Amino acid sequence: MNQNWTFGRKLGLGFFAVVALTVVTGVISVYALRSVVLNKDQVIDVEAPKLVDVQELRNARNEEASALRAFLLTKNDRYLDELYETRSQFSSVLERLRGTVHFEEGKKYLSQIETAYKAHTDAVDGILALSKADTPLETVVLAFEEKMRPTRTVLEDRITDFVKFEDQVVKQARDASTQASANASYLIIGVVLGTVVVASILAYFLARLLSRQIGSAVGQVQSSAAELQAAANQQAAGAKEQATAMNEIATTINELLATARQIAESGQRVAHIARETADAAMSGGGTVEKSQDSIGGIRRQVEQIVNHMLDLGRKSQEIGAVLDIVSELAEQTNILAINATIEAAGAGETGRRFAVVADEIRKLADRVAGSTKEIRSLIEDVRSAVNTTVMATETGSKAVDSGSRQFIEVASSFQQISELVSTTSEAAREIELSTKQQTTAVEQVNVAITSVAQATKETETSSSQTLLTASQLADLSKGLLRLIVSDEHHEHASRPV
Amino acid sequence: MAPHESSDWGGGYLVCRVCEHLWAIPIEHVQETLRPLAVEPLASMPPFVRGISVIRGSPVPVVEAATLLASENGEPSTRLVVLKTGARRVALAVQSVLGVRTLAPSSLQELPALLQKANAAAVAAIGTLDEQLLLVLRAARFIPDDVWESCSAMDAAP
Repeated sequence: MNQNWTFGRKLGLGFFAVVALTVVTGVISVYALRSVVLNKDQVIDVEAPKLVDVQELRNARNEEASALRAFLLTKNDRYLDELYETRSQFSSVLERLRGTVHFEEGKKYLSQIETAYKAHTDAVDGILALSKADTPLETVVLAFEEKMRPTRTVLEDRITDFVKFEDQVVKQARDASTQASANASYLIIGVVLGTVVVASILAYFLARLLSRQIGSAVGQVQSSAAELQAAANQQAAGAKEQATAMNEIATTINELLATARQIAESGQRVAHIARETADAAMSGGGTVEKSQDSIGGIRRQVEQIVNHMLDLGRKSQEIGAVLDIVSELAEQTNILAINATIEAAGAGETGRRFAVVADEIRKLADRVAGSTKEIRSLIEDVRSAVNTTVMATETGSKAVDSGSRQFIEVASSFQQISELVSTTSEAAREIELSTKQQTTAVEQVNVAITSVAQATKETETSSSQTLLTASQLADLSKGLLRLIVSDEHHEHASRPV
Repeated sequence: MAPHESSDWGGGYLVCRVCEHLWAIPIEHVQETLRPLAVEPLASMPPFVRGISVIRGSPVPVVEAATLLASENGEPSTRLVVLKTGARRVALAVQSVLGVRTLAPSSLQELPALLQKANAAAVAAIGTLDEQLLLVLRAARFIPDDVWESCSAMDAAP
């Protein structure tokens, strides 16, 4: 037998052989039964009806006798008709028997019956003639007893002989059928025994072959069950760790979800504040532009002040120049007055009055000189103040210019702030939208993680079930091994392949 | 020729300021006052002589009053006081001229004995004027004779 054939193929071949033997057995049995049935049918359908026909012959003869008696008693023609009808019936039955009898001896018996029946009908016709001729009843009865009874007895004897012959024929047919049945039984028993022997041999070889293969397969199943058990243990442990990790991830995602919601709310607040800031920046920009105009006015006023101060300085310089002249005049006057006093002192008594006048002139010149000094000091103060004021004003102008530039920068900064705040507002809105999307995504992830956690729990349960199934499979393989391997070989066969 | 000396402290004086002191010069020795003029320095002159200025067509030695009696150099001189002693003239550079004053003799006194050796040739008396120290000069004495001689030589030159 080919070693590469499958288990089912080998079993199928074995069952096919058994079925083929069974079919052969069945065919032989059917053939034997059909032979028996044919023999029985031959007995029942051919031989038995002959006996029935013989009985009908007897009945027709009896009915003829009855109709004869009724006619003899009543003279009624109806009975005469019945009599003729029975004759016709007798003739037809006899003709049917002649068609069914194939043996020469049987045909001879039928000829004897026909002859006896001919004599009997002749006797009956004689009696009928006597009756129709109004022969006295005693004569008729006498004739009936003397002529018809013997023919009737002969006819009965001939029929009885034929019945005996047919009984013997039926017996022979029955014996032949019984012999055929016995032969068929013997044949069936022989075929069944042969089938049993062949099936036993096939079963032995199949059992041996399949036990070897199933043993090997069971060993592999045991090994696989052990590996499956170990894998299921690892899978169960991994599923537990995964379930724990999934719980931690779910907790973290819940926290992340809460944080994302807080970020979304914060982003919304930031967007709101950014919008308010943008409005404030635009308002501040307007205020800065107004302030810039005011600073422009201040700068123009400061320039006018500077110009006035410079004019004042120039006027002071002019006053100083005039004052130099006055001072020069006062100094000259002082010198002249002193010299006049000196000259007056040299003039004696006459110059004394002039000396007084000259001294007054000197005093006046001194006062003028003092006043000139004071005026010069004042002018210097004024010039210094003017210079200081001009410098301060120029500093102020520069500060105003710087302030104006700074205001321009501030306005630009406000514009930039407004743009940046708009960008910030847009970014905050995007952050808010993104965070909402993130929240939705995190919720979906949370749902997915929950599903994964559920799947992990189911995996854990499935792993436990797998472990249980592996254990059951190992036990089943051991049981299966015990079923196919003897106890002394169990230890050897249960080793993993 | 000996300079003119007066034992009478009364009369007019030209009061000048030299450094922190007031100088009183007898009015009869004063010719005029004027602004400082260009000074031509000369060789071998005492430190207190700044040089020669031409005043009204004649060379006149200019004496720095501040260094005449003291070695300090104070404020720059703004006036020249032309003194005359006989035919000699000398210009005294002072810081300012206060005017002609008439000093009462009671307000003056002779130079103390401890100071006579030091300043007897130039200072005739001391006093106070408006609560300030006043030195009465001997106009003919505080110019050394060699200065006068140098000036005379310059006058004699054509």
